[in-house]
Amino acid sequence: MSREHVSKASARTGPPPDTTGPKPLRYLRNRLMSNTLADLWTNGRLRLFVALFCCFVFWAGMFVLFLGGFKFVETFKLTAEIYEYLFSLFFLTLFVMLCVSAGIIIYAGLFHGRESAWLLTQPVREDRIFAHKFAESIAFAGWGVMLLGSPVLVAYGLAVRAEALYYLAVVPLLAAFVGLPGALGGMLAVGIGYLLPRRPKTILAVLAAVLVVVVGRFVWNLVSTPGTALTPDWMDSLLGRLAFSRHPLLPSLWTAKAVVALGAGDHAEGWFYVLTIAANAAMAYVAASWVALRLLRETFCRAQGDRAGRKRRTSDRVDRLVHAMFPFLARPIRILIVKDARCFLRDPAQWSQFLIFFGLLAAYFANIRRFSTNLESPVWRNLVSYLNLSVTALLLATFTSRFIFPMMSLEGRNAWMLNLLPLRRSQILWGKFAFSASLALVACETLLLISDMQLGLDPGLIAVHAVLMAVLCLGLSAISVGLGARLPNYRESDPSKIAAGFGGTLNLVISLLFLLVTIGAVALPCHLYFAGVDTRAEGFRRLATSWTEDQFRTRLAFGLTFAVAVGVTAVVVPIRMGLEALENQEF
Amino acid sequence: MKGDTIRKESETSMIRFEDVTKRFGPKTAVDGLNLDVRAGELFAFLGPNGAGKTTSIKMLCGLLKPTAGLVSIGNFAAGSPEARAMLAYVPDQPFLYDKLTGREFLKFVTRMYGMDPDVAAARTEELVRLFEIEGFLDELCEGYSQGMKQRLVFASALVHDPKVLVVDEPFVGLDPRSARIVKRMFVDQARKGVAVLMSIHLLSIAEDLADRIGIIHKGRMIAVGTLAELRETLAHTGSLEDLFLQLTDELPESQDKAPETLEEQGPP
Repeated sequence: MSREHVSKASARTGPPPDTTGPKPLRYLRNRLMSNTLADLWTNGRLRLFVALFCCFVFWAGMFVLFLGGFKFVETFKLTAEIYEYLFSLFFLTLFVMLCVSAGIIIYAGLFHGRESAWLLTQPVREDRIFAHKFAESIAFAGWGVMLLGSPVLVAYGLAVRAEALYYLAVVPLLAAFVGLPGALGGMLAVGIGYLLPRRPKTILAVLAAVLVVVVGRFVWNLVSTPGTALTPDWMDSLLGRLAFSRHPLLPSLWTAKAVVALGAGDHAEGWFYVLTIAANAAMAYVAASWVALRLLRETFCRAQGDRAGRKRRTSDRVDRLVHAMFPFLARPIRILIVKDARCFLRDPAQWSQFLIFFGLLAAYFANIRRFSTNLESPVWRNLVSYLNLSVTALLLATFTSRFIFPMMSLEGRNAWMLNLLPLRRSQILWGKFAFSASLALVACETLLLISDMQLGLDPGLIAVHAVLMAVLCLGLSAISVGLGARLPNYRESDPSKIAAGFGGTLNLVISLLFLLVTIGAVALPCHLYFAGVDTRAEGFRRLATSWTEDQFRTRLAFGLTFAVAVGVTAVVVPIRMGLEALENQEF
Repeated sequence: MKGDTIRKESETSMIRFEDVTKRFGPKTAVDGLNLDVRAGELFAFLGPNGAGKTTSIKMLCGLLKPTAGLVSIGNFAAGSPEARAMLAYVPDQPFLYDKLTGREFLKFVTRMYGMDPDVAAARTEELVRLFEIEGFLDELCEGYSQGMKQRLVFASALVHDPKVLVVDEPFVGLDPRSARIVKRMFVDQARKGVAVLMSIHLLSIAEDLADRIGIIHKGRMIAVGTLAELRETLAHTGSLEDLFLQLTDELPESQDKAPETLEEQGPP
């Protein structure tokens, strides 16, 4: 057999024959889904119900919030154009998020998963493998969009008294809407992998930076709108600045138009846009599939090639910083923190999310005075300060649930090594706690100071907020570390799947309850007091109290003491549970 | 089973590497590899860690593309649909779907190869008996031990009667009984005319089973031949282990290019 013979035998015009068709992979997905559900029903009913309950609470919360919002907007008798603006922005945000998330999921699934490596050795055509991964990512994305989009659209339907057909049309509309960014994201994943196989993390970082710039510019445009808020001139100017979201080629505008038309009972126009989106989604999928058929194997080979022989420069700056920050901790614990810090810095998924969200919050807090002219009012100022504190804490709760909670599970996979080190198991747990709490304290206290100083709060209140934030940082870190050790998942190597499991979900729910109780204990007396003090705060009359300043201080001190007590409990109980579980754990 | 019998069975070359080089950036993982494995031949690929064995196997399976040269299976370029239809590949870390049962996994594989359901069922039963996996076949794969996974993966690899079997470290995690089953299976497959290429660290198994042995070191094939041929050419009288160590550890850097006579000899 000569070289010429082989190349001739393999020479082919057009794509290879599709010998397997879609059935085997469809069979695979059906069996996987059916077995997973059966397993969940048999072995994880509590987990299932907790997850459903959380979804229901989230859905209901969104629904109530948006129903109130839409009813408020309805009182102004605004034109449909305003709704189109609102929905255009909403769907444009969703579109970008879906495109990025589908791209990341498909990229990781195709080029970093063992499944695709195995499938590529099987007689299945490359576009079928792409379709398989596309279906997975769409299932993830579709679930998220339904959870996020359906309460908004149902609330809108009720607010504008839409016909029953509106609710039926919303389902295919959302399904078509999800397909389009999903296909674009998939095409981008294969294209970027093909063209820049050695730089997936750099691309992620650049993408994150672009996103920060774009969102930052958008926020800046909003806050620098001239004129007094909610006046007709201000509104005109604001809409002019949002005109980019109404570009006629944007699918988000088509979706917005479909929603408004269907809500108004104009089915012809509504369905025209639904079908336009569906047709574009189908076309985008065909194009993505075509790209995958031609480039997937080559891209896979390139992505594999990148992994060999990558070297990391080891900087001792992180080591020195950690040793300087924690002189009071035993050296082995500090060394564990150094290890966690290095893992954190080498994982763009972690630091980029941390930077993006905390960076955006910092930018917002630094410009907070531009957002409202009401900040001279003590009650509004107080309200905004607690909203900022809550948003920061909420972000921290999602961060600790996503990244800190899985740490103990991931460490368990290396238990054979950790057990041989001259360390007590408890030191591993304390190391994680110190790492998480220190990172959280630095980031959140800085954000809080920026916010409170911009709002011009009294130094005494700033001190109260700082104590409250410290309680939140320590408590959230302890809950995630402690529950992470108490409810570990040593089988799973993917931290996002650990975070999405029962333990991760429970951790998130407990973290949110902790936030609610702790912040509520301090925020409530403040709000009641300022509602009474501020004579201009018409909207808060019902809540006004006639507390003197001394009475307020006493009640605030009581609230803060209660919050600290809850915080101490949130640190001691989960850490103790985690320590016990870790000491008794058999690996 | 030894060389002479096999060579009589078929002279068809099923696996071919022609001047194959693979570079990862500045690093050359495989350097000018030439190799032919014929139908019915059992070839053992030996080499220290990082020598280029797995890279070569991945090129054969179409998971990596050579920087230069040609890799083929049968008459077809590695990675082409025709080549994949002939190939069965068992990686060092077997892949299974955690939420499928063993039986469902086998069914999925037979469907991928477009097998007739009756033929697939009969072949599945045969392999289930051969690898003694009936006891856990209806349980989810997530509960399997390493050995159970390995046996199921072997069954799935053979279910479509491949022409070429490529196995990376086949004895990892296997207990002695399973290892014996797998060893016997290799011999049976070769007798049936399948070209078997296995990458292995256990020199005693290579010594026992392989028709020919190839020793790869720093990306270059430094020795190919039957054990007797290797010994004869290198004027060596000791075990394969001694021979292997002599070739890979003790040769000075300048001699790593290997005895050219052996390379030039090619397959017997």
